[in-house]
Amino acid sequence: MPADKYVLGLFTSEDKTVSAMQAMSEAPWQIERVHSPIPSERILDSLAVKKSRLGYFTLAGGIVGFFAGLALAVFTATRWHLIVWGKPVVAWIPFFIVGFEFTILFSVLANVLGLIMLSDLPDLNWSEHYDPRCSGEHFGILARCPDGRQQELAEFFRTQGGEPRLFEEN
Amino acid sequence: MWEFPLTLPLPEGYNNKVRDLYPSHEHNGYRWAMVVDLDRCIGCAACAVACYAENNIGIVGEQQLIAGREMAWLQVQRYQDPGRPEKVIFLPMLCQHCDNAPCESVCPVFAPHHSKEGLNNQIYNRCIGTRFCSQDCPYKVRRFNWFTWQWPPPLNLQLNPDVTVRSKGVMEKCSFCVQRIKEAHNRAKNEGRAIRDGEVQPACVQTCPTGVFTFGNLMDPNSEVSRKAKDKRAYQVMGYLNTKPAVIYLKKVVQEI
Amino acid sequence: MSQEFELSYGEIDYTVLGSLRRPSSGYWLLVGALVLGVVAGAICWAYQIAVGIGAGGQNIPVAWGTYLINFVFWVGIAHSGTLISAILHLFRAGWRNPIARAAETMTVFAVSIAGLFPFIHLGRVWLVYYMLPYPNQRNLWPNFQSPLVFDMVAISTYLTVSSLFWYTGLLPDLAVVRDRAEGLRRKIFTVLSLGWTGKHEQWRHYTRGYLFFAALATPLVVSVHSVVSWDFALSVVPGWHSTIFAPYFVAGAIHSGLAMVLTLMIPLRKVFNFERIVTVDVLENVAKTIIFTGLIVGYAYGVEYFLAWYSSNIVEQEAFRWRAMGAYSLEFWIMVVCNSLVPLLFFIKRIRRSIAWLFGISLLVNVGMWYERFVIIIGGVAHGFIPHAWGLYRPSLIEYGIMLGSFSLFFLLFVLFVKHFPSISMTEMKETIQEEAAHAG
Repeated sequence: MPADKYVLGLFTSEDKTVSAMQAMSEAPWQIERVHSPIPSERILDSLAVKKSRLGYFTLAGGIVGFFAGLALAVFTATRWHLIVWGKPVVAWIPFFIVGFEFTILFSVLANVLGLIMLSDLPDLNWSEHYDPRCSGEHFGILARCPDGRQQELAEFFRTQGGEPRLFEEN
Repeated sequence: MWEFPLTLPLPEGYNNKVRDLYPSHEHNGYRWAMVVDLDRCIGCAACAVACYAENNIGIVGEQQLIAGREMAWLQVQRYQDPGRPEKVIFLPMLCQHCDNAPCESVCPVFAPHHSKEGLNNQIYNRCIGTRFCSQDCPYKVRRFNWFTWQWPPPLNLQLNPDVTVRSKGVMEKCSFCVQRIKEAHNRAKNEGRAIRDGEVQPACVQTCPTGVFTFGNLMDPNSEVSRKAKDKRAYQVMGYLNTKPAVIYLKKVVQEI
Repeated sequence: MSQEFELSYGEIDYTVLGSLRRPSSGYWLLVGALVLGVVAGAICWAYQIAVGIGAGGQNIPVAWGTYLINFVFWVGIAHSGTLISAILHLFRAGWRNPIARAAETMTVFAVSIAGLFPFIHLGRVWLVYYMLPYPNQRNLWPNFQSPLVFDMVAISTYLTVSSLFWYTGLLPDLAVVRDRAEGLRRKIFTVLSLGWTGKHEQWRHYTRGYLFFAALATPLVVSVHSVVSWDFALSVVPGWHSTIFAPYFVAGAIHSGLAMVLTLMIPLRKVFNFERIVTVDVLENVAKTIIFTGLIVGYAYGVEYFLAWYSSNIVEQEAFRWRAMGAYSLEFWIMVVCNSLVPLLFFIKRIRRSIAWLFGISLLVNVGMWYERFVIIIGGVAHGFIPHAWGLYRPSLIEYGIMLGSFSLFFLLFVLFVKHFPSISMTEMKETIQEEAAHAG
């Protein structure tokens, strides 16, 4: 069985893109993914994707960070029990500051880690079925169709006001 | 700030309800302290010279001295009444070995910290030269090695072998002649006894011709320092900062109001 | 904002990518001059390491000199970058978008330079690793009660976070450059852009991640300059030991940083023809914010005097009397005039819309903020508790050399960046006109 073929529809505005996506839900075409030069709430809404779960990474990082910072400060202070300025060896007020900074540091690191993992970066196959115009003025809808129906799909994009680009390799 | 009580670096110097956030800390048998009787001081600065000789303090030369880089651990400060220049008050100023020493907690590497016997230790090997301790010292008694000071021969032969020679980039200050305290400890341990009152004499105490300085253990209620600390003339320099200095000054108030 | 309606996506790309075209010989001349400045600074530092920190002008009682003044100055500069990119992002202030990238770049470079100064300042910089908490053969650990260790933790966190934030924001734009570049540049940007294609899966996580970034950078930026202020406020020095220091320093930091944004953006928009993107309206908004921070800073100066008087503490009172009337009174009045009085000129609409005035006042505020740090850091300890230990400080030539090096390094990094990377966020500009259009429609 021949593999499915991909067609990229390029649109010049968010409005056209969204209406094309809506039209597509009634057509027999499968949306593979949508490229846009800007983050677009409306595109994400039309795809009905769930909210990103990145926040859990960030939250976990923050909690771990806070306790890691406190633990580090307490651990190091109790190695020698040196008294400075008559303060207690385990001094919670200054150590809280360390905990706070570690909270931010770890949650940001976890945030980046989560972002890299969830959005599959670095993506070595990025150029596959991609058009450089998508980072400029164009929005791109990549759709999949069975082999032989590419022209039909391209025609659909044209009627929606877009410019199709066919990918001949699978 | 004028009516602040004497806050000795002992548990009785702490008053958690009124002045102190944290309880007192314990000392191990000894709490070294010094009493300086200003009424006896003639301002000869023999103490400062003795301190230079004992502790291998760098000689900076005229130019650096004018630039504010004198290394004296102990200096005799002079205060004059502008109206009556013949009336001079001498104030030998040295590290106060405070119980709550502001210099200690600001150091990132624990170079200054509080010893079990109440000394404010300065660990030269540890010091990386942030100079924060000096900034935070209200008495400004800490001295910094801006350069590696030289002892051209034969001056190198007069260096005290019991004391480290400090190189550039390190903070230093009065140690209460810790090498002499250590020596007394060894002697006392060998003889199986405690250090006797008056046994430890820092260089300044030993040298003073008029007996201004008294050094001893403040935890021993019968020691001379404890006795003198009860004198009515006793005060601490900037006592209201509540650093609980271990150097207690005696001065009769002669100011006419 | 009427001008922005005329902008299209293509025009934004064209204008911004235009700044990446082959540089003129004048550009390389500038780079060469800045490199010379950096080398001069490096030589001064090498000399100081060789002979000892006494090569500077510090002494007892003033053991901190221009190195820490510059440290606080550069950390302060860094702050408004995060204010603009993170805090104004949370407030959805659209006018931030044209200047956010340049401001973030400024942040990253300014923190890096600030981070150099504690090293330059150390008496024994070769032992700086004593401050790091790692298991070591000395069996020793740093003192987590020290404000300097807070500083180390805060500044390194800030550098990490602002760099990552900056890079994350840069990612879609790196892809734009990649898609329009050829040859070696294309290869480099292919690697840098990590295969970003702007597909919806990426945007879904990206927008969320960027929001968290902004939400975390906001408390961080407030905490970092608070921590810097505690280097002073946690001591007993009169003029330093004050609870007002944290908010005072944060406001001052943003004040100086906004001024630096103007100082950088005004030549930038001129050279790269960004006038239609970085409009006068945007600069005017920065100027309005400078009025606000200037008023806070002026208020803080006043409160310090009130506290000194109200404390009935003669040491405190003398410190503040001396500040205005003593050996450093000139520096004090430069600080007051440049930071609190000059920005009030921005109340006049004609002045805050005039490029020449904006540029001139921004330079004055920079100078004023440098002197604010001078007045605080030098003035506090020079006239402390013990009259016998009162002393003065003047920077030495070596210190000026290192300062020249630091400014050269900052401008060098900035000049290199704006020529080789998009100095305006194309993605955010496109977003801005998208939103403008949506509101209009």
